[in-house]
Amino acid sequence: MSATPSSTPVAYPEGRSRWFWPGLVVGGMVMAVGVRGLIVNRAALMATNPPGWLGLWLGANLVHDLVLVPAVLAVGLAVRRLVPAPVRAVVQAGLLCSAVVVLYALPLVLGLGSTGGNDTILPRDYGRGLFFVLAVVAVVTAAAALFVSRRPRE
Amino acid sequence: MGEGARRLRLPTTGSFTSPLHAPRTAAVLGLALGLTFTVCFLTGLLSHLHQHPIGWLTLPSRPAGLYRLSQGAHVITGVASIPLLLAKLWTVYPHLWARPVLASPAHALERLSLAALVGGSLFLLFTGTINIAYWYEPMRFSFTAGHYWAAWITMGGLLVHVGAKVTTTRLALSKRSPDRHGPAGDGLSRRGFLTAVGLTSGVLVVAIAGQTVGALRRISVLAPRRPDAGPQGYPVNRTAAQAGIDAGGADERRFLLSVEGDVRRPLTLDLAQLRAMPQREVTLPISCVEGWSFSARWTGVPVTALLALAGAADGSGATVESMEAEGAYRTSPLNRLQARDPDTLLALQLDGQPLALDHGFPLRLIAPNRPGVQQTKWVRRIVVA
Repeated sequence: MSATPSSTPVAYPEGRSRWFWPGLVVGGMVMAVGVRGLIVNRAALMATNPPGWLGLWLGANLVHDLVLVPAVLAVGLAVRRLVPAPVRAVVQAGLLCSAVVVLYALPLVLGLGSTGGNDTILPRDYGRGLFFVLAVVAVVTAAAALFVSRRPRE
Repeated sequence: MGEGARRLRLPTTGSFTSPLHAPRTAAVLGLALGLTFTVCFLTGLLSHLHQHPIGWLTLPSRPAGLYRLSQGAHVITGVASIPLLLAKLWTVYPHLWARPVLASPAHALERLSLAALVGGSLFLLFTGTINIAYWYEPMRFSFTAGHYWAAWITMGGLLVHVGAKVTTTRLALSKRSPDRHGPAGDGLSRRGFLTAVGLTSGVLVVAIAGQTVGALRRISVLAPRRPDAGPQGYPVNRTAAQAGIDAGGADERRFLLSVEGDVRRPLTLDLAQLRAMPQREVTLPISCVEGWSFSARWTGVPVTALLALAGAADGSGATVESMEAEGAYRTSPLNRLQARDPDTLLALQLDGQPLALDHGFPLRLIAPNRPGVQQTKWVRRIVVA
């Protein structure tokens, strides 16, 4: 066994890591702190909307697992069909970056935030800002695609 | 018809064919997230301790810019985590559909802890992001309490996950990793994917960091705040109108500051008396919990001088009270270190001019290493304890 070169691939271990149970005990205690905090502060967490905290937790997860990821997978399949192989990777990277930036910027661009009459809150034109970032990403993506497609194939 | 029926079936782990759904990809992203989440947790904990002081732990008033650095890092690191988390969850998504759903009690416990970790991570980044965007409708609960306690649950889930995956992760990142030279797909390679994710984090950081890093303020086009716009050239967390303060309430002819509580000589001082006291000028930041900040020059009366004048005992703390009628931040505590720091002032001026009403005219607290919401504005009373 010691003669095996250090770079020879070995299979992933079957079964449970020996650190699983220690991790579960320590992690479980830390989680318990959080659960206790939620229970102690339940008044602040449920004051105006009883299912609010848990509802948002579950809702964010359901939307991610059942809407966001399937949508990403669908776009991935479409890119595989529509975009030729030499530039596909570059297009995927450009789309990945653009999609995440849009996701972050959406509440700002749609003006969902409440400023309460405070002009120093959300002072920018976020539609223009998002357009600017996406334009930069698109230009870089296009340049990279051009570079990749002109590179001689090996 | 048969094809259609097959497509309606739920996927299994094997339904996902991209070679990017591999342990080595998950391991790299996991390490990065372990780092960013630890930064977010520790900085968040520090911010929580500032706002919910505990008796046996007196937070220092120095270094003056620590809270600014720490809370700026909290928000920037959190936003940088968005692409990392989404990429990580996409990478391991096939495991969501693993069969059997629960193989053993240990497997059930691991999946339950993963629900805490994944659920908490999404919850934290979502609530954090919409909170800095001032979009409160989805959060009909106290953001600070919900975000803070969810962080403990998430970090607990992270510790369980580290225990469960440490062996696999070490192997996945080593030269002996079975998927080190995985089959090349016809799209992004693993390195390409990880580079794209990292660059996306970088784009988001540059797009928002200018709300606390002044040099980036012009190019941070998606930052919820500008550090250079507002009354007297600086933003405010809460305007006078929002706080229910009007010019009449803050009338300087009628203004009186009282220093009371555990003192030998309770004081009542008008503005002329405050202006006649020795003034001190300090350059200190306002650092908001939402991760934006600016530094400015403040002039006013040191709190130590007021406490000495009132005959407060050495080592006293104090509560600073605003004219505001209500609100969670109507008062703020100064522990004994903060109260005795020479740079803790009741400021009368900002950059050499009287405070604008929105910045707390006639008198506001400014102290080093402190959340902006505790730099109480429209101060009218100090209660020594």
